[in-house]
Amino acid sequence: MTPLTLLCPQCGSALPRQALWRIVSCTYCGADVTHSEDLVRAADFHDAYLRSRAGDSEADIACGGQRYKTIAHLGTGASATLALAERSGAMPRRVVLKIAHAETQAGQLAREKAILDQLQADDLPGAAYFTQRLPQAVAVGSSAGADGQLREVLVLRHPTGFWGSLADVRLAYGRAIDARHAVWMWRRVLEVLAYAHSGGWSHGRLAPEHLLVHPADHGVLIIGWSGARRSRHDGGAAQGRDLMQLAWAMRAILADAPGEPAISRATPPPLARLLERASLDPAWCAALGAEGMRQAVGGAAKEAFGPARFIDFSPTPSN
Amino acid sequence: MGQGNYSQAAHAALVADRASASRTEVFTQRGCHPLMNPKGLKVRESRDSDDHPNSLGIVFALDVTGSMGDIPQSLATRELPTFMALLNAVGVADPQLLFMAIGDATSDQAPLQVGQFESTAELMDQWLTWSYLEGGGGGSGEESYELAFYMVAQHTDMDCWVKRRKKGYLFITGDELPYPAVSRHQIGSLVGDTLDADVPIAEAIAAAAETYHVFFLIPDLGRRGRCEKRWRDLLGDHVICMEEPGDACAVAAAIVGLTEHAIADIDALVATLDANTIAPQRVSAIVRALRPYADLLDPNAATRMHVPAAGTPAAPSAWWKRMFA
Repeated sequence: MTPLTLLCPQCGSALPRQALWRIVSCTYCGADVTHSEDLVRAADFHDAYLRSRAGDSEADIACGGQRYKTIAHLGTGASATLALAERSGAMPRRVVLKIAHAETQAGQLAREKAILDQLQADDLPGAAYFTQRLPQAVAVGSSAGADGQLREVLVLRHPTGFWGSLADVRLAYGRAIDARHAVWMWRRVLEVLAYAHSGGWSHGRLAPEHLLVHPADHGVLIIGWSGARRSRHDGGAAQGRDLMQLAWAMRAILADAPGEPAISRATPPPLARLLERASLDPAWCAALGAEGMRQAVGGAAKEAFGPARFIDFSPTPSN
Repeated sequence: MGQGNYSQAAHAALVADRASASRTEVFTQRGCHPLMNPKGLKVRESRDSDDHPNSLGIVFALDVTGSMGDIPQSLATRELPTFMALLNAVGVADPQLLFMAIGDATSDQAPLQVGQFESTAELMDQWLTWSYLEGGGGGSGEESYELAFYMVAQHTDMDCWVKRRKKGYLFITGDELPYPAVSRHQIGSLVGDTLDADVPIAEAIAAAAETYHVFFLIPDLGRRGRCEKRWRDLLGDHVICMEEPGDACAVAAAIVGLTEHAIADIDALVATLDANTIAPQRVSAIVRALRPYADLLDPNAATRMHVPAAGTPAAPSAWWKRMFA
């Protein structure tokens, strides 16, 4: 083996052998030196990373090691405020930020994230399809609000294409929506509930405010999972209660007037009968199950309207 | 590289000839092709020419481990002419394609293979089918995707960027996690570069993203569970979850069209796909896969969401609370 002495080309002093494969600083003259002809500096990649973070100063919320810039306010719930935001950096990402109110119990959003993570991790039949139709949590942490107080923040993947809640739809219409639209909304929620219920979950708070509608795809996303429970030992009572709550949510969008929703005389009789029983008889709901209820809704709809067909839905009235 | 003219008819004929061929008949390499071996590679160039004055570099880095052979196969036997036709339909006149093959550098014989940027059907096809589908991959749930970011950042040079400050495109297909860093030892043995320290993957991505729009395509919903979260942390809405591997070309072409603003929005995308004889059920699946990315580009996307009037609570109504709370 030929001995090799590495020398600094500037001052001639000895260099450490690391100069063969990376840049070293000469301890005598301070020059940055390398003897490698094919050297690639990792620092150049780090510099690119720092350049990619140049937009961080415009972001207003930090959570989970990322920074987010708020785009729009989306609403105020019982325990948190919702905002649409975009992650800063070279690789943007649209998210929904759920920012806890000052009086909200600490850890509530962390619990919601844990529930959503478990729902996403469940490996039940149909998981590949249905986990896309459940909210996806990104991170939870705390961030200083405008008043300087630290608030809990939950970052959720933005559910693209969803317009607003069924409560917003009811408010926008100011009257009952077409019952044919209520049918697909009901069935979409029941599909997802059947999946969640099969894993032992119950949502517990299926109000119109927790059902987001996707007009183009005729989809419905169930949100507000912070009160969800997982139990296989109550004989399906909690799941039956979910189905009853959902029937009331459907009554709300089919009701002529706001307030406690009465079944409208305009609702076709087969659907009205099903709605009435589902909204009053949790034991029957539990016995039927979400999949049985979905089939019952399909049967009632066929009786009322004939074979299913796609009808464009607008979340706001066109006349 | 990138000389010569593209002929849709020649490409379609080339692909049709082997439509029913098996994977081993199409991909005949049984080791890394010497010309795709990156050892000593200096630079892969995408250059303008008289025939192609507006070259646009597009890199497909295809995962060639055991579970991911479907996409190279469908490219070679069906879909690549569709990709080129869609690019042509949206006005991308001079695309130049480079194929890379990615495996697992901890266990495979040929974890990194690199072709050249090409404009002609025959040469694109040549590099694609010279790829060695090793079908390996380790059991760690990771593949060496980070090498693709390193290679495009360090060893490609494109006139679209140099002359026009227009980024190229990097599409990585895969169904596993990346390793957390570009290993200097692997780069030394595979490429011959002396990297002075490992490069965290986020930094390799940032360097690649300075000259490329980078995307990770997951082949189907069944495989998103094992890798989507990590990739979204890294690439945000540039992660595209497809519903079947055969959509890769149409999805990639649509991304180019949307990013270049040659396709205005999702409605225009539907019209473009319909006009290019993509089956209606595939159009729906492609739109579902691309909607998050399309919204990211659309300045009006946020305005299509309902924003309640100030003071409107999103909590359950009084009647609901009375009954159930």
